[in-house]
Amino acid sequence: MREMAYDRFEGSDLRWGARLIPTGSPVVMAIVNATPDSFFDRGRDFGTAAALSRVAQVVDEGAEVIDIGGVRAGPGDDVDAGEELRRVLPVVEAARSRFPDAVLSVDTWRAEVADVVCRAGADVINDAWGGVDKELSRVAATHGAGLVCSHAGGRAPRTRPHRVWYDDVVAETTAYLCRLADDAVAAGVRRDGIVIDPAHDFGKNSRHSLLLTRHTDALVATGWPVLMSMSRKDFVGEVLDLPPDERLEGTLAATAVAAWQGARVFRAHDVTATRRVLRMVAAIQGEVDLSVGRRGLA
Amino acid sequence: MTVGTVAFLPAAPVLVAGLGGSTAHDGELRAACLAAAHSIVEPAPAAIVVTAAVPSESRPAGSTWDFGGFGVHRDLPSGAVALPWPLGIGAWWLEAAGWTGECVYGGADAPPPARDRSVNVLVVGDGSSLRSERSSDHVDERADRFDAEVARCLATGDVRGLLTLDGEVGDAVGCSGWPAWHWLGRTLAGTTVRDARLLADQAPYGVRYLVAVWHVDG
Repeated sequence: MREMAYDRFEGSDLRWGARLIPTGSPVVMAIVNATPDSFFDRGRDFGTAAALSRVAQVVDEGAEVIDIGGVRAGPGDDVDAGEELRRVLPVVEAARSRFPDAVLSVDTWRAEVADVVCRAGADVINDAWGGVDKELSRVAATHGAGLVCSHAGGRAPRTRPHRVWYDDVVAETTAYLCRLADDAVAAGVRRDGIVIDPAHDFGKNSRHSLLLTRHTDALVATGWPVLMSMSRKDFVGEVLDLPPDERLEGTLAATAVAAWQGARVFRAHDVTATRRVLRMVAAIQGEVDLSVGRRGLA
Repeated sequence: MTVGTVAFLPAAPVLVAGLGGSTAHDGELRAACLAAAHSIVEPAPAAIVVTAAVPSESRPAGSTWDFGGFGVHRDLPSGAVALPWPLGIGAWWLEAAGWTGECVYGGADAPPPARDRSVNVLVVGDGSSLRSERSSDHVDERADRFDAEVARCLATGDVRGLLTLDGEVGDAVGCSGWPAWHWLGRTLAGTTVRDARLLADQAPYGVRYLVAVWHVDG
């Protein structure tokens, strides 16, 4: 593995909703899938009541950001904007009311969906398909919302990669994300609301995702805060030859490596475990102290 | 150029050792691919023509496979040039079968070669890739019928059938093979296939893989 960056990243603070996320304090973005068919939870949080229950759970577990999605990432039944809103909007409205301090993100590539959920109180738009709808950044700008700029390799939403070839996946991904972030600023999105996400497995094979994890420091060096969305994905499963429900340890290993190199936001299914890993990495880096310090000191 | 034996192989990176992971899988399919590659290597032809759906251009001697764009880099031999990956898949299988002789790499839009020497041919391409829940995009219901026609052509040595495969449907069902199969149809026009064997016909990962061997009478 290439030598890791040992210098602490001196990037800028991130401001999402009412929350200031300073450098050196990575946070967890909890996944809430208001879908019947997402790859890991398989409909566990489908329906407004179930999704809200999940929101309450992850807030209780300490998630700083809640990412609500209404469309499965992979191919499947058509979900138009109307159906996406029927799934997501009631969750955003209720979560906004019950958890006024939580940062609410909505995972959508559609500007029309983003506009409605921002009016209902969403703080961040997670554009996981990487700039497919050019109006999306303007919607984020209009509402003062944060924006996740992602790299999906130019793939259409809800497709899987098929024999995707990159001459240099790290360089191409980094350059694309910087262009997307600059375009977002030009469209009026707050500079301190933008993060970049290499979007593991989106338009990439597992080796591409591993390379991007290995070279997290290249993304961090752009100066943009980096979001890593790795939770239980296929690149973890293909390393270990394990199904999604057995990919926690692999996900946490990737989380530690990316956190060590300066990634700032971790989109995760497993909030408690991810927060523990982030705290442990911060302690090794000397950023936080022991919670208890009795050993050998009594 | 007189064609003696033709091998049809999938353009599937997953079947290449070193790309498909360290856990053994697809053993039967890989064995069929290797057997097909052996069938064009062992007669020791003057050269092996390798064709896939890539642009035709002059490729220097020593051109070889490199799968760096899939995340597995190779230090190329001195002076070697990397092939477009579908041709690289063909080069890799020939190397696996022990071929060290001349290779002529071409695209599916190349004119049929002159009939001035005896060669064997390797055609690299797959059937549909939009055929099941494991596919990369939404399923096209025409995939099964399209693939069945391809399999029938390969199993029966139907040269004209290959040439008349519907390219528009082929594109719609995500088939990478039809341009190279059309090229072969043009190349073999007027010849007879005396023996055709379909060695494998599977779609374990949402793409139809076909492995076949033809022996051609000039």
